[in-house]
Amino acid sequence: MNSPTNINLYLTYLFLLLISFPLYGQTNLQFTGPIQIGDYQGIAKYTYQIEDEDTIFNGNFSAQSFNLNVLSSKEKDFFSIDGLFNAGFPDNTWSVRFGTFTAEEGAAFENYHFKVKVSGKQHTAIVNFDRGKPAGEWIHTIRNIQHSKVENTSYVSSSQFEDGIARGYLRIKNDSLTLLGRFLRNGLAHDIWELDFYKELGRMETWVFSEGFLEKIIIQKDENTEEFIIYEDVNSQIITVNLDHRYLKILEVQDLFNVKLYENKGGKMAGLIKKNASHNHKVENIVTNIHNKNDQLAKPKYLVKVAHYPLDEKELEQLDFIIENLQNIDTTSKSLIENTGLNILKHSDEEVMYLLSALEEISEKYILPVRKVVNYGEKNLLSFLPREELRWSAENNQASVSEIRVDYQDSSGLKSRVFTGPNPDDFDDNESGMPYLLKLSEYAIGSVKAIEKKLAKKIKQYSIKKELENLEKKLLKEEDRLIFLVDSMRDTQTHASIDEPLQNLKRTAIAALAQYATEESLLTKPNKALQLIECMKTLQSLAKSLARQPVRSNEIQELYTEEVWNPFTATIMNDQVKQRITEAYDQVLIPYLHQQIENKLKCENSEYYLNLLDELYDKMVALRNQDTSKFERKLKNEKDPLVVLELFNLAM
Amino acid sequence: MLKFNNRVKIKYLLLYFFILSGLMVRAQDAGSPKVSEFKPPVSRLWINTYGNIRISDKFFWIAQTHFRFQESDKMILAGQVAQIYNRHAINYLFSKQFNVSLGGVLRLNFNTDEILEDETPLVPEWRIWHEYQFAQPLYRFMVYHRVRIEHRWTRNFKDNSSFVYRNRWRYMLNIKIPLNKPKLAPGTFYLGPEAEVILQSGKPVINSPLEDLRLHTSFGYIVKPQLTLAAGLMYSLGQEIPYGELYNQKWTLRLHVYFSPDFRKIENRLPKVH
Repeated sequence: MNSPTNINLYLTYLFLLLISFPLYGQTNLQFTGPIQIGDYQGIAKYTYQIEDEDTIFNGNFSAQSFNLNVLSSKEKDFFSIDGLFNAGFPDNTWSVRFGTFTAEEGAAFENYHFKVKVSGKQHTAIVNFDRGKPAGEWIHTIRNIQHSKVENTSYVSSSQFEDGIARGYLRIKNDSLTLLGRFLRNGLAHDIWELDFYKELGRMETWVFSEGFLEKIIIQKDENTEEFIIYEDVNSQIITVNLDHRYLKILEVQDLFNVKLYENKGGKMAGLIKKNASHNHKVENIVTNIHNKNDQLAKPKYLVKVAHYPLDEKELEQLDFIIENLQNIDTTSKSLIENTGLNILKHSDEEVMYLLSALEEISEKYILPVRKVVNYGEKNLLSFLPREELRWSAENNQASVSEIRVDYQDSSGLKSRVFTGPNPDDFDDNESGMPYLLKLSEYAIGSVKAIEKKLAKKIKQYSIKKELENLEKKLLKEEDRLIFLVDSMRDTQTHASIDEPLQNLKRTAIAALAQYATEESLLTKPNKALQLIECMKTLQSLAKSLARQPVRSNEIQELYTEEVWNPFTATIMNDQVKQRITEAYDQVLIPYLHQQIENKLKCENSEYYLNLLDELYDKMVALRNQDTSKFERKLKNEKDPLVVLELFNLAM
Repeated sequence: MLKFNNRVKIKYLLLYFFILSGLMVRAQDAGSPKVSEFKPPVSRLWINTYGNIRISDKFFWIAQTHFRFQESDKMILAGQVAQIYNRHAINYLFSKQFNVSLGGVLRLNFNTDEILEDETPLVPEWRIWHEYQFAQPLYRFMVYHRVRIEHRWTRNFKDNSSFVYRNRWRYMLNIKIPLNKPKLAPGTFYLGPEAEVILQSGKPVINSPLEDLRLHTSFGYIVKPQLTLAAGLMYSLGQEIPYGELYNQKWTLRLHVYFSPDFRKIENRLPKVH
């Protein structure tokens, strides 16, 4: 019954079963559900395994992003991906589609489905991997879709990869150009890369590579040939990079390639290279986003060579200082250049205009090499920059690097001055590279700080000036008030005795103002103005006090008058009591004070006279009801006002 | 009530005086000479101080001292002392228009004639006097009516002569006219014309009731309510006792000092400042 052949077959089955058992040791699981891939949200369906609590894709993977509001007429992004993972790595052929569509009007409902026609653009990438590494053909096709039908193909590119590196040819065709580029077996771009403008006769662009080095670019157009020499001799270190936008940037950094000039001359190849690289990057980005071990994924590379200037440790340290200095310069300059007060002030103060212009000159032009270095540093391009040649260009004809020519506009026209920062002699112009740039940044920061100091003083003066302006307005107002007061009093007063003292109040005020006008120091002027305002107020009070004096004298007269019965005339008579005191007041002190105010009045003693008049009046009121016999005896025949004042306890 | 009937009263008083004097003249008609005789005028100088010292709201102490000189053979006006008056009284201020006084006088009379053997050079004269003064403003002036009645005891210079009692009836019309000010006030110069009739009665008074008729005008200055100075010239005419036909005439230069201190000031009670 069981033949040996059968037994052998069984044994073979058993053997196969035994050796394949470990392969089935881990169970493949299915997942269907929502997924986030980069910016896309969608529904995914994939097979996976769990290994050490990690999800390992294994098997088919498909995902599609969708928009629930598919019927809206707004432009929508579409995305779908189909491929295979092998033990976590993309493998075999993958198809990725990116679309941008607009739904058309007139949706049809058929077989329980909405049918909506769309128009737009679809980018299809068919790419191949071998255990995570680009391998085989990578094709990008961009089609224009009209009414849900392919209208035309606007872009096709294809390249062959081995072990992640392009070999053979890179072919790109769009609606007007065809690019054919060749790679050596080692993956380096080589030989002539041709861009054919097949719609334009006589137009051709050629990039000449030699084992990865781009030697020159030749652009032919209407019998004109433009040639850009790129690498002739490379004396520095060499590094292999990917042919993409960064490569073009490196060429720019090394001052070998000017993209604007190139494009002006009709160069198109760079654009195609960038586009191809970005398409690759787009796919790679999607795949690496699915694959959570992206660092293990190889990227599709087109190899080219560039000069390389790696930074040593010292240079990296210097770069840190340079970055710090530049930040400092930028923060300080920005705050000063944008300062409202300074921006107002610069129109009236030439020095401010000059300093702000110097600041702009420093931060925008002078430290340009520094900024360049920091900028490239941030973009990881610094190691491609030949730093030895970086210098502050002498385009402004300055005598030395420490002398910065500043052109600025003021009310009288365009002016030019040379700004020199602090310690210009410390700036050793003989250095080069990063040490030179560090010195440049240090000199610049010193200069900016010096300017900041000067401007801070200016802005302080500006605020003082503003304050002073307000004070002076107030001062003039008080002076006007005084003049008005005095004039109106002189118009209404009939007492000649106070006419001259009142006049002198005006003279004193005017003299004080004239004296004030000669003050130049902004530091002391506000205080002087404040004092003068007080003086004007005191003079006003003094004017009022003077004007009140006749009334006060009458009041004192009345206060010191008693009604007395005169038995001899049988009449009531007014009797002046304590006449020596009233006489001292009326005939000695008041005339003396008026005379003093007329001849000796100053801001400094104005308050004294004001107070003296008040105190004297108060004293007179108080003395009325006091026993003053002794005091009156002392006053007898005393005509010296100073002695009388002393007797009144009001000595000067 | 005095306020409104002053004038009436004065009229009655005047009438009374004239009737009285008329009766007296008639009573002596029989044996008297046919004509009166006016003696030559005598010149005199009076220096009078008038003190009205206020002692309360309504009361004053009147203290007057008069020094009266008259001519001598050697000197006019003040050749010799004639009398020294010392007059005191309490004055009651009834109202602004009326006040009364009552007091006594000691007058020292000096013998101005040749002193005979049985004569003494100086005799005292005692008086009790009372006075009623009416004051009223009239335009810018002040008009005063003064009635003074004096009860006097006099004796002559004869040694051991006895005191004789007489009464004096005096009425004076006095006007004060401010010159440099609208009314009487400190610093005012004023003119004070006055006329006074002094009648007398008593046992020895037979045919000489008119003791004196004084016409006096003074020029004064009110230094302050408490002090007034004045100077005036007075003509006076009066009958002699017992020869009523004989009329004495006198020209008197009068100097007056009026003072009225008030010692009631309250500031004495307040703290001293100096």
